[in-house]
Amino acid sequence: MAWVLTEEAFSKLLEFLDPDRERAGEKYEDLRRTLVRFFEWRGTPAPEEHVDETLNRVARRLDEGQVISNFGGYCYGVARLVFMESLKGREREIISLEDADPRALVAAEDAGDAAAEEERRLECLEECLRKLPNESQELIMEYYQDERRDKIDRRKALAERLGIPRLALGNRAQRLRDKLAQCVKSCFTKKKAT
Amino acid sequence: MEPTSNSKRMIRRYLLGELPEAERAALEEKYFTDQVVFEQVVQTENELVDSYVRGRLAPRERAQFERHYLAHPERRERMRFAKSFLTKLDQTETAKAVAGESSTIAKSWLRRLFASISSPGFSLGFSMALAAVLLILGGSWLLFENHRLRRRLAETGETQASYARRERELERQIADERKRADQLADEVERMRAQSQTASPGANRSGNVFPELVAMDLTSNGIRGGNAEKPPTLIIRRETKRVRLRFNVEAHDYSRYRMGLRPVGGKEVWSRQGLAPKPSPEGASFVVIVPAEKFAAGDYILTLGGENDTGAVVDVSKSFFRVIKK
Repeated sequence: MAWVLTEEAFSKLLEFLDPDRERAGEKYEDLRRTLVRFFEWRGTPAPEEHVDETLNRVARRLDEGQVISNFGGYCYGVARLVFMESLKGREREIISLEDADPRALVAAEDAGDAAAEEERRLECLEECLRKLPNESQELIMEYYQDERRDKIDRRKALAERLGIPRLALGNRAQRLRDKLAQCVKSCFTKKKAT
Repeated sequence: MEPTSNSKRMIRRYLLGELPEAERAALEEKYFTDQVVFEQVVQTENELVDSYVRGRLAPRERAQFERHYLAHPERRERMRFAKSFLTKLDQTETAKAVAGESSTIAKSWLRRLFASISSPGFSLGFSMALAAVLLILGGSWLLFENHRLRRRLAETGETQASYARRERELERQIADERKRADQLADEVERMRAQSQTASPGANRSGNVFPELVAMDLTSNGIRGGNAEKPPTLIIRRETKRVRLRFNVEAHDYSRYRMGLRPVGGKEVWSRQGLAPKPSPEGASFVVIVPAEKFAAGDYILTLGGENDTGAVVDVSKSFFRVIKK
């Protein structure tokens, strides 16, 4: 019978990540984000499914009492294994995907009314930006401003104003960007369906 | 911590699918165990995508981005998000700039306006106030218009870049076609040589390959022919292609152009970018011309050298007569 992630196993995973529940939640989100990107960068067609599978396997090992010393490295090993498994039986599909010219794929997807779609995306972006707290809105808009010359100084000043180190500012901006991208994607999908 | 330029280059290669498997795995293990490295990869990805959207990638990197990165639907989605996000950022920045400039203009004019109103000549002041309002409106409109034109200019730049890419692609296709044509000509020549070896008495004008006739030409005449009598090319009903070999004594150009026209008529066929093939006499050019291009009559085959500016300088020509049977 296939192993199913139980609440208890999930709690053990969180406990392993950090005894503090809130921090454990943050670390879990970080791990999930890393896994999503790993599968995306590897070119897996359905990253989320593979992320769930990886996390389930890691949780199962912890539930079974396995001692894991290098947690990041272990997760990478499991993720890599899941990726390799996903390649099996999918080789033909991958070859046909690689054969296709991505520019043609983009063009085909954009073949509808490109201008209207872009307009819809912008509307979604504005909606999603409005959902963010004011401070986050300002942060992301200022962080990614397109002034290459004084970018470093501007980001330094922004970090000082917010009272956080520059590294933390960069991480916060990137997370906000990811969040915004997710929000725009789901908003756009909804708008497209209606 | 900002990634060093070396590690940034490696991350870019990873994202563009250019890293060998061992290096790829090493980087992946690193970003799974070190959150800082992971954030560096994400940062580099965002920069790469933004640079693509803003048309700032070098041609080779841009091509690889389109070939590899955009092959994945989620990554394409990131590129589309970046497009909207950067548009929004530009709009916000412009609005800020416009608001800033308008406010400066307004402040300056309002100061004068109040000064006028408080002066004894109030009606003059009122007129100036009206003029000031109109100027503020006009100034704002001009600033908006200026921004709109700048955006149009940027879009035109992107379109030009896309044309340049298309041009490069066409050049590559032309080069391929040219190579294929050369191979075909070589193949035909080889087959002809083989057939002549097998049957020494075979007629060059097409007993062995009735669809193809061949003729060797030199400047102003056929090799070994009578200079006063033009060489004759006999094209039969079954002839589909004519193979012409033009021999010249010297060649000073790397590329040549060959043209064919009836005497006193317009050019009916031409070929550019021909490379000379060394021969005992100097150099030769072999071309295959569709038989349908010929009617009965006298023809001139011209050879010109292509110089660096693309202009063609006449090098040699040869006359011949075509008889259709």
